[in-house]
Amino acid sequence: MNHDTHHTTGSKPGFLTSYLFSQDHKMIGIQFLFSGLIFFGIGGLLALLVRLQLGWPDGNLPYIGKWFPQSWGGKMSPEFYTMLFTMHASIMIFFVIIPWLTGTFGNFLIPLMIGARDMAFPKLNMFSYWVMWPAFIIILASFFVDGGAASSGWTSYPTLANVGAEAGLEKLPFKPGDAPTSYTVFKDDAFNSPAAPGAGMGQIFWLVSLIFVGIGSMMGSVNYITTILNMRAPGMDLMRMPLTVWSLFITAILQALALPVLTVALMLQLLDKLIATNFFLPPGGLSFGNWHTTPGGGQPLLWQHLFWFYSHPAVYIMILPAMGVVSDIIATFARKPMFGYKPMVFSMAAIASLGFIVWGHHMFQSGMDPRLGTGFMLATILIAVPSAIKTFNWLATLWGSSILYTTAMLNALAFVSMFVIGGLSGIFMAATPVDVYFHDTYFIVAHIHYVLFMSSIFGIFAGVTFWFPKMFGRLMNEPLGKVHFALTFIFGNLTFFPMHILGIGGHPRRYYDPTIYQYLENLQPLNQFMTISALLLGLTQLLFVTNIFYSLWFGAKASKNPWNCNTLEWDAPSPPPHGNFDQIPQVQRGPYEYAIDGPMDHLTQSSPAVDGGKIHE
Amino acid sequence: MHRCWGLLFAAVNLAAIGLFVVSPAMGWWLPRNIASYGADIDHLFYLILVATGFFFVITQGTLVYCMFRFNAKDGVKSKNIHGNTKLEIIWTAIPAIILIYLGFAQTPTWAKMKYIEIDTWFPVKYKGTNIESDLHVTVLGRQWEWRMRYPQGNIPADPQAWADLGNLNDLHAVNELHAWKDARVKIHLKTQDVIHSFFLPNLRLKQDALPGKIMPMWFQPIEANVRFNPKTRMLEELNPSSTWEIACAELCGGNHYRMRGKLFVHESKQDYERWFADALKNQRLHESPRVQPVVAAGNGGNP
Repeated sequence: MNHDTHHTTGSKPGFLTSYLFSQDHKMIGIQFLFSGLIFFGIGGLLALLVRLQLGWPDGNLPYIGKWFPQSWGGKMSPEFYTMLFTMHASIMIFFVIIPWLTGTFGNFLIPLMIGARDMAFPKLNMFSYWVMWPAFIIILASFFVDGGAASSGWTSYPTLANVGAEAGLEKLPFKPGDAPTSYTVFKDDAFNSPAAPGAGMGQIFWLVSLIFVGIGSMMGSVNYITTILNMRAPGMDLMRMPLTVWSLFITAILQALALPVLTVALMLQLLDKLIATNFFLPPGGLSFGNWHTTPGGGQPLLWQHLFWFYSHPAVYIMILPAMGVVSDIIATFARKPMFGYKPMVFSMAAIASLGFIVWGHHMFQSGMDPRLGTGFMLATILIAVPSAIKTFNWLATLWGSSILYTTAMLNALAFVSMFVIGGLSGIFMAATPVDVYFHDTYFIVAHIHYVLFMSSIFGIFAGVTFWFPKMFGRLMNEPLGKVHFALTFIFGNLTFFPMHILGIGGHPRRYYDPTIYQYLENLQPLNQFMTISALLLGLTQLLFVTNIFYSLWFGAKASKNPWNCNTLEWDAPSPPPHGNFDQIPQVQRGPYEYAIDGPMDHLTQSSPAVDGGKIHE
Repeated sequence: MHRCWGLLFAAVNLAAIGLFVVSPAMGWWLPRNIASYGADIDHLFYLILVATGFFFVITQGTLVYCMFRFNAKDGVKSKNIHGNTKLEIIWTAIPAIILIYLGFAQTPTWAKMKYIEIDTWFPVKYKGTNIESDLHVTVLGRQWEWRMRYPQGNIPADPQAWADLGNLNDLHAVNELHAWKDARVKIHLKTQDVIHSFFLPNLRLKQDALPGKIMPMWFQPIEANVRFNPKTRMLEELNPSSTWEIACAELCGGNHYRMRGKLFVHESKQDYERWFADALKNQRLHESPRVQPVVAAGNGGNP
């Protein structure tokens, strides 16, 4: 009760408390939206540099070549290239997709959609955004440290990532007759690594930054779970929650259970680097030229287990909220009830729980016991079943519907179409013998981009367009949105679909110059084609940014419920004030009462029953 | 206007199918298979391609059909349907059956590649590293090359100890993997620094080298690509297009892409042994005390 009175009677917040150190869940969601947008730009530029190198591996780069150190001769160095894709993936995953999905949609939508005035812990919520800022600053600063940013891949496998000069490295005395080697390359400095220049200070910055991200997401997920379980409006049973809320709820549980494992693993690797522990260094020591590590007692494979125990569920953290968002948008614009609401909820729960026992499918070739691989293979194969159920239910929702082709709907339909491709290509890698060939080739790069870019990002575009009027009180520009959608759909497919073919051809990922391989030579035209498409795809995203900023000030004013949607957030004014609702709504029914008989074709969750309104519970 | 969106989705999906149709003709496809178990793997690949292709066509076709057929018209309402249990059961069961079939269909190949001998379903008996083989090779990954070590007589007395320590009369080579046609080759994969991954696309084979461990892998080439010419003491290619390469598949630092090696499959065991004897003779010349060791230089004292 205290909480309610605070919102309704509290003094008007000043600029700092309303825009920066806001405890209002809506403002925190919007903060995540804009910081995500900045990092989307940075991550995208890194990807374009990767593509430039792959398209023309031996060419000197015009214009941007001048930015590189003179010793590189206008080309990027192989070490710089490894840094590019490492930071591209890290930024896109930890600073764009997860913050957008859980940070923006989670914060903005959960209280509004369940009919609460705010999160259960508003102050914790504020911290969950502000611990992201040390992460933002550290990850950006890492580009400028000695040796460059992290370059061991976003997976940061030891021993490439965790060997530091501090980790017991010593130089053996020369034997007479030994040819002098390049042992002087590495400065005798605790923060340098003999494994790679970016595996020194850059890797330490990367680890510290991700630890902050981990803490922030942890705060967020605890908040989401508590809010959803305790603060639903009267009548909002669990089985009346919109699928968006269900997906965010399941995601929060995944995050709360899996993320501590990654955070701890990051800390262990940090200890390996800083105080010469040996969690991930093998007994027997390692040799880098004339540098040798002292014998360790750890196991490099342990990192992979810990990392994937989080990072596989993380893949679902990065897709489940998009699935929820897309479900709500499809039902709204198909003007038809969600087909199979309960199967949709249960299949999300199944994906989440199976998601915990499939992490080993990233490690079929890692040296893990091959018998264990069989178990992971079966679990992985089975996870395609709930994914198929979801797809069929979306299609059944569309069947016999009357589709309104808004920008949000088009992006949501693209999500369904692209998720099918991303899901089906996963089956190839789940099959252990086939994965032996496809592992670490471009086939997996195609798969991850179909799931994360072509699915999650389309889900995000759909969601941002859909809830923009609720966030800012103005509608996004529809024609501009449609042009952006069509071009993204075309160039996205032109960029990512040929990656499957590269993978079938055996093109390994993370290669600076594939053309030195004879068997990859004739794939090079595809690489160049993809680079051109990627540049156009990147340019297209400027339309999205333009649309956001244009619509912020010049968009058409939005009514309370511009899409005739049923869920509770549309009961609140656009944008909702501090405290969201004038009066906490009484929930009467589930969220998908479309195409009902009566004067209106839909019944919102809170509207009292109308005579003649046929309601299916 | 709505038809345009249906068309866009149809066009993109047809283009995707089209790319898969033209790629084999363009040579953008699986490299030539030369492994005894490669046909099984390729077969599985095509099996999954057919299954996924079927679901791709069904789902994308339905989506595009819906986009054409069901669009908002004034006064026409959607059907108020909340679900159908029968349908849910059908589209849960059919993919589940197909997927479980795929799951079991692949286990024999996996077992073959990884020496799991399946006596009964449970427990599975693991043959481990004791598979019969005709040739043992130790491959040591380092930044950024592969160092191969061949034993005299093809099979060492104690393979594990040999893989770990080696013998004085071993033959050393860099980035060159030699074997002969139909030989069952046992590789002992090691690394001295970071994780590498020994990738032979033509053999459909890949294995990470794990620091601190010796990883077993095996293959049997069913095709030869070289012959040793004792007169010129050179390897002659049997077919100009049959260059089989070795790559590194796990990021191992800046020059990860440069760990390129070659696979030489000799016509026969005799041919391999002729090459071996010649290479060993050559190596011994350089090992004489007055000459600098060639192989060990720059290796940080690590033999």
